[in-house]
Amino acid sequence: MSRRIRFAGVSKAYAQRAGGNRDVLRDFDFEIAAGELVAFVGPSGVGKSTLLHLAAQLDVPDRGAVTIGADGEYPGRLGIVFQQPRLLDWLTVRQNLELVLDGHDDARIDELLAIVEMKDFVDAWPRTLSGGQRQRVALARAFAVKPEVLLLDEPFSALDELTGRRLRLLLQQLWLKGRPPTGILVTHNMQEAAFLADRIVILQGHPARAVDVIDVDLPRPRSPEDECIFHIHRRVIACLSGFSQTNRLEGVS
Amino acid sequence: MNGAQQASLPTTARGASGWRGASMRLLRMFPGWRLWRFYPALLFCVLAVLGWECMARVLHSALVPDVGTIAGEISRILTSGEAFTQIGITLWRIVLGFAAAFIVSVLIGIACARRPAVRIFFEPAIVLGLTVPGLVWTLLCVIWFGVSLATPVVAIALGIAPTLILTVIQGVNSVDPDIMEMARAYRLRRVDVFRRIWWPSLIPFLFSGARIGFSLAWKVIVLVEIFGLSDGVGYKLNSEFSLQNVEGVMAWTIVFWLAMSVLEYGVFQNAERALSQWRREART
Repeated sequence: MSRRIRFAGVSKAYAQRAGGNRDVLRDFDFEIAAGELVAFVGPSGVGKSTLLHLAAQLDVPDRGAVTIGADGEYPGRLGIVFQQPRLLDWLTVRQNLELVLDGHDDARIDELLAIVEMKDFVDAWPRTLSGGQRQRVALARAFAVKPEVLLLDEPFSALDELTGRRLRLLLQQLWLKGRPPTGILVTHNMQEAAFLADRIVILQGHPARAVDVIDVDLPRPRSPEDECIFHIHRRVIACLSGFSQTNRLEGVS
Repeated sequence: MNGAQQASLPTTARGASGWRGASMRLLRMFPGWRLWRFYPALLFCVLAVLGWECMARVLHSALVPDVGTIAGEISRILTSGEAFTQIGITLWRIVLGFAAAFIVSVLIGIACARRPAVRIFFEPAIVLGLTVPGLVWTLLCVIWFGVSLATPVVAIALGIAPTLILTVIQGVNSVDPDIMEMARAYRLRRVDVFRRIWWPSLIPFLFSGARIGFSLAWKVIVLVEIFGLSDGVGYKLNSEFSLQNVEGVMAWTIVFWLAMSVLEYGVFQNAERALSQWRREART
């Protein structure tokens, strides 16, 4: 079961080295529906990763609340993919996946590794794998927990273009398998946002505010070659560049 | 060369070219070349023995016995079985003291690394432990516990725990914060975080700490056995010293050094190799 994620009046400030605090978020309100994947895009340091960290409960807001599911409810199973794979070098690929599972589930591990095309590397050490292969394992690990919430923190930005493209397709494949989780994608890659997300939130300013929300009304599975993806991509770029006069774009297909 | 031989070569030797490759090929012509990494250590031992023999012949003094006399004494204590008995007694005391210190140090070290308040709380005790000489702990334990097993165990534990605690703190602090963030995000159980993340990260530090701890423990146990006990290597050293038997003192020292070397090469290095097997496999 996927869960709604709600940011309600969230404020977060960080102490600056020069003294004083810098407001990253102030009274930020946003809601992500169950099963929806929302991409947050915007310039570096705008607060995208802060939102993701708050959702992952790796950080706490100074004010307001981030709730997953109904109020007071257990936040549910969470899968997360970071920019770096963050695998344990001293555990094999299988053991890295087992770590996040409550018990051994060889069938599930084999199935996930087969989807990410890593079945032949089940007993390999992460250090023997390429960056792309390690990130595939990280992707499989995120789905191993049967996530109700999936958080993606620039998951493919450290990879070359072709590997990133391949992994985006694999992510889509995993997303479509079973009931999709509720997801947050933080990325600098607008095409990636357009390809994967249901909505794209463009953040600007300090503290961050959503200057535009673009609905990506495209059916899945999507093709990276789809002309609509490029269209959305251009709109996001235009908006970020300050040329957009549109506050909301819907039904681009 | 077969695969096993290839694997046993150091990384730098594999596929090496030029003078390094040529020297490796030359080395392989000698029987027992696989022990090549011990050759420098053996060379040191041979030079030390030769140097000592030269000194003994030049000085010609009863205070500097020649190599043959020392070897005879070593042979005597080994063949009589006395060396094995006394070393066994001393090592057992060291192991008990070390085990006590190890358990306490891992618990306190992890707590100190994780909670600044705990570290500040224990800081005076750690500084005290690092600055107080082993002799002070020895005297206090002999006074407190008398002739009992508690004396060497507590004295060793007090002597080495501060160093071990610092090693554990360093080990825990070396854990990649990104990995810890991943563990928090996935809400891993504490037992899994300890078993799968902290423990493997701590292993190299613990081995380093164990080596230092054992060498410190040896210095403490000798004092304890001299002052408060009637057996063990320290006691034998003191007996030989009382008789002004220099070759006896040297023979016991060398025999214990040999025992510690067996421990280092036979136990520590093998255990460390087994526990960090993934590093070698990941390199190949």
